[in-house]
Amino acid sequence: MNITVCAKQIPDPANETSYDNGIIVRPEEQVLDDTDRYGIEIALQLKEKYDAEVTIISMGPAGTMKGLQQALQMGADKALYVDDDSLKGANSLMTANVLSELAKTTNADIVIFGTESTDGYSGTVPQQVSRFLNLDCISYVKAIEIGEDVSLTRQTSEGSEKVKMPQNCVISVTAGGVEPRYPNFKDIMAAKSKPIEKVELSTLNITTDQNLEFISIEALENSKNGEKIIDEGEAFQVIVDKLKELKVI
Amino acid sequence: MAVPYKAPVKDIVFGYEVIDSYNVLNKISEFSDFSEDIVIPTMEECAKFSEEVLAPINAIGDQQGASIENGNVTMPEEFVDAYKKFIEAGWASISLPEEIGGGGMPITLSGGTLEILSTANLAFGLAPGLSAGAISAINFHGNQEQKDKFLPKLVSGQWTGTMNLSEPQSGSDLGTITTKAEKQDDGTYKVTGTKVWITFGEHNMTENIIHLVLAKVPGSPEGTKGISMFIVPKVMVNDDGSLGDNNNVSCISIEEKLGIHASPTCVMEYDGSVGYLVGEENRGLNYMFTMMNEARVWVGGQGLACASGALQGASQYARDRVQGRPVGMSKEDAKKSTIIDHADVRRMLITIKSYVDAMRYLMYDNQLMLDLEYFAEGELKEFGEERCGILTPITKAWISDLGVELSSIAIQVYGGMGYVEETGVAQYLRDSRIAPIYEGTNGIQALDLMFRKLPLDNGQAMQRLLADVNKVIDEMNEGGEVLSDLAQKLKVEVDRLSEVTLWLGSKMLEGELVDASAGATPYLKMFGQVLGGYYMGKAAILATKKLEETGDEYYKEKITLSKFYIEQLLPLASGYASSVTAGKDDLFNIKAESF
Repeated sequence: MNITVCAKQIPDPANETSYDNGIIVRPEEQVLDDTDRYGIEIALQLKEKYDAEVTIISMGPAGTMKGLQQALQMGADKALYVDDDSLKGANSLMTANVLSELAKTTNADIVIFGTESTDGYSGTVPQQVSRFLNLDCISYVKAIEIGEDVSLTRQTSEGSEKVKMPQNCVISVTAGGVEPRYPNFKDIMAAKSKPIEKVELSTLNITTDQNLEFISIEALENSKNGEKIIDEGEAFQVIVDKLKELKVI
Repeated sequence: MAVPYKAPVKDIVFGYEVIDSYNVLNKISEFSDFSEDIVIPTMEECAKFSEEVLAPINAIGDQQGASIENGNVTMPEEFVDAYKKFIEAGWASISLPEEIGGGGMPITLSGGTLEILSTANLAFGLAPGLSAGAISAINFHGNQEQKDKFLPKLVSGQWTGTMNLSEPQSGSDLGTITTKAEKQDDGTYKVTGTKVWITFGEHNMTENIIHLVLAKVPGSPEGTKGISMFIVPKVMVNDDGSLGDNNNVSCISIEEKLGIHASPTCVMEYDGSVGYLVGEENRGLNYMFTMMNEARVWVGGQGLACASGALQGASQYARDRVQGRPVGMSKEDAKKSTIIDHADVRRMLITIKSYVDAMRYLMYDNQLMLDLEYFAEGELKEFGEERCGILTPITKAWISDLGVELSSIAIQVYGGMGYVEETGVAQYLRDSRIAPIYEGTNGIQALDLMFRKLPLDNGQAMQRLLADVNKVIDEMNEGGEVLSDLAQKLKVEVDRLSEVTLWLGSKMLEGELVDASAGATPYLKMFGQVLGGYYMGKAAILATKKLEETGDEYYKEKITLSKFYIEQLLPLASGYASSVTAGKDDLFNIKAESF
């Protein structure tokens, strides 16, 4: 079985994000998006159970490839990436087109995503990839079992539900269903010799246009300013009353 | 609330360069490919694990601690869960040999990981730390059957190990232990006695605990020459590796302590428990000494860890706390100012930060010397052995003392909020206080430095170390105005140390041993202070070069830290000189009852 996980390298969230004309400035050294660790964990659990091969695919400036290395350190087998200047500021449709073409090169049975990237937050790439690949897609997956078909547990607003999917599908994984593993020291060392391959954009069948126009970027204003309570010895009572009013206590 | 821990990975990686670890280790065939490509991902992932798993439960361990009921020691449940994740990630075994299931990495690599893990949660780290001692003992001195039976699960962390030396009447002097081991017809021994201060002697994180116990076989020689070492499992291990019956090993009580509350310190009772002799009878203490250097360096590292953790909290607090108008600041500016704008607060913070760097370089270099001692050959091995011998007592005592002192300074930065438990900084002070005591008190380290290490090779070993310091001074003299100015200041202190060392040497030759011993502790402190200057000088040379190459402000700050250390902390070294050479008289001219 071939499992393909889409993973993104993002600027370290511990540092402040900077923008250039609305596009995130990406330093040479980027890290694996924490959201993708959930997808990789699901893939690795399947690998352990069904002897699958796990391939990471990624699009964006490769830089030092630290984020891809981190995915391999968790236990993925190899990584493919596309890094092309023409994709700078690519919209989600273009991203989905590139990733689906990459996924085709891996003969993926299942393509796994995190729910949404921590830097872009579009949350629409998995669904678009599924259309490009002509596969069914399901989101908010918490757990997965594979038999004759794929049995999934999916997070819903009420709780969770069981869903059956065909053997070949695209899924996006929600945080909380699994706990991403911390790389074992030996896996960290082994990752150094795992293959990371660059795929030239020109070799892929890209059928969409870069049709996103950036207009401007503005900071969101706080919807409501907090209330300042001056403590003159009775502030606790004011807070207790407020909490009661909000029915918190 | 305590400040979330963020491991200083960049400082740690810089430390590996300061001690030239890559070039030195590449001379050893096993580590010929040791490089930054190994150090950086290792430290980053160890940091992630420690920040997310161990640091958040540090305060829980402190407040809840380990508890005992009917001989069963229960850990906070978060620790049981964290231990499971810890062994899955394999951090306990990175520097153990590959042939027994370890990571095959140099001990030097574990310098950074130990620092990170111990800063995140010192009490937690003691369980795998003690296991490492038991593993080394069995691996170096056990027979094949013992290795096959016990090592795989100790190395994987499925079981933990302990070291049982002290008894109520035998602490620093182990020659008086009374635990006895009687030989049985089947070749095993019946071990009977009580051991105290047994770290993680009993707990519920693993299904079995393998105790290494020092005991005397009836008829063996008096004193330390009659001590043997035994493997005593808590639960017997069958030939097929499955667990058998309990082995009459029980925990009678655990100590109520000042710190490291989540590390159960047990009184253990062995009641005719089955023991397996390690190596030969009466060689137990020699075997124990083979692991002593490694363990002592690790304890020094605990001082580094506490100071480093306390610094993080104190500096964050100083950046946040608005209080008072700094001298020379307008009233308007003072409204936005925090206490980090006060010169005195900055002095406290830079003092901790400079020392932390110096302590880190010393500890890592000591581990590098351990690698040379264990893995190199010929002259390089001899050099490692000699240098390790000198550095180890200094690493253990100078760093662990500073761990306490610097954690205390960090509390001072917080003011009253440091004295209450809520901010978490008080835990570093309490946790750090054990390090100057265990694994050979710092007083014993000072005697070791003076009476065992100073005379090595007729004092030539010490001269070779001082010559290396002088080489760095020469290099600094060639490195531009700032470095050469620092070199002169370092030279003054090195020369003073050389003079004092010669004085001690002559006293020892004259047989005035009590006079010499009276100066042992100030001598060790002086030596540590000067070695700190040596490493900070090396760091300044490297940072100057890197600043030129990269323009990165980080290296400018490293130069400032070296400058501060050499100009403002190093001169304390000379201050110790008069105590070193004062002799015994004042100490003994006050009657014991007058104290």
